[in-house]
Amino acid sequence: MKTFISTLILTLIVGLTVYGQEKYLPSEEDIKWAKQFAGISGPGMLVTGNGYGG
Amino acid sequence: MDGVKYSGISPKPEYDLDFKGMATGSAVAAGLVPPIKPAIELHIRDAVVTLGGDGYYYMTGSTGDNIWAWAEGIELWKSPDLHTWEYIGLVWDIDKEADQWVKEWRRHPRRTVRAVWAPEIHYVKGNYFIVFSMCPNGMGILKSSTGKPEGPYVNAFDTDQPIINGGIDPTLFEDEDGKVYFSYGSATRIALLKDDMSGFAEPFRNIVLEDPDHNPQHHAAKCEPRGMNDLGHEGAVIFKRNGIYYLGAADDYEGRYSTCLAMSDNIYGPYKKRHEGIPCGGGTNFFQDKDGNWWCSYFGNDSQSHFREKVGFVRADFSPDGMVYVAKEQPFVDPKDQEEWESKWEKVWKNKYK
Repeated sequence: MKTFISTLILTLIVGLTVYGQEKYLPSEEDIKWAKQFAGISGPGMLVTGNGYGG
Repeated sequence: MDGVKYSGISPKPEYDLDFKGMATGSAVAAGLVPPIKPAIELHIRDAVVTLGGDGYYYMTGSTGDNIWAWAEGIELWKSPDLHTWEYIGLVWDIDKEADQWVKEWRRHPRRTVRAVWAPEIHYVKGNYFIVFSMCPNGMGILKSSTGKPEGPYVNAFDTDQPIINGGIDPTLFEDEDGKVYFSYGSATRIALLKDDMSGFAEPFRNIVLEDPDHNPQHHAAKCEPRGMNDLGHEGAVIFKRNGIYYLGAADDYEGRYSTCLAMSDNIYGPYKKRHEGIPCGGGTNFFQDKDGNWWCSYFGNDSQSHFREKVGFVRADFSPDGMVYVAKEQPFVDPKDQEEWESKWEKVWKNKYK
């Protein structure tokens, strides 16, 4: 029993170390927020102004 | 046209679209930066260019509306002369072609993100390689599986994980003997790659800057706590001219986002003579054109620039002892602005390193 509990604790520690640090599972709302932005810049256009944009 | 911070195919209102006051052009007024026009009206950051084996220039960079949120992958453009650009397209689609670690959502201090940061295309060993980072860290190396710039691109390394733990802004450099080196971030470490580009050939070597610039005006605030002994804090650059290696990293230099460069006769240093390369030209790269002229790609990332997050090209020159500065001849300056630019150049740059 003692060995089983020790193994269980060790497994939980290792699991939390690996997945707690590496895995990030965002909410559906967060994903929707990120994906609202265009994923590409696309072909671009000819420069029509004087270059002093902004 | 106003700045194009978020002017992709469907700009969204989450972030401020207004660049007013954020691109004053004061560096142009002061003669530090030539009044170049962007080469193409395109939303891009971290733009880099390589001259391909077919005589065309290839360009990529951080693209999409919002690199702190979402990108589909890596886009590529092509030009015969740096002036006329053709869109090749999305040459690496994360959802379809990337390893699992790339596809995963990450937590940026702002919000959820899955975006590519600062990809660079390099023509080395007769093939096209793209190094990239994922926001907020994690880097990879891709190679064209066909020898063509449009790919398809596959993982170059023998791993399906990030090539090192953490890091952003990777870069490659091929020396004259065919050896290829890798650096990233603040350019404080360099590693040799295997001949077949499948991994690192040896451990990273730490780079020493022999005569660091401790003027806080020449560094971002975040560099001060660590002693300002570095070249910069991101956007690593390596190139070589006349037997001299140039190592650089982007920093906040008197309010400008510029690549600060230093020189050495050995790839591993020590490096010396840290100086601001092309003002406002940080986060990009230096490359030679077909006629041997040197250029710095430019995207505008500070309020002294006259445009932001578009791509332009500033021709670079070198002093007798190798310092990089802005060349007098600037093909991307409008002819009507040429006389004024040359007048400013005489005052600002002509005797800068004499």
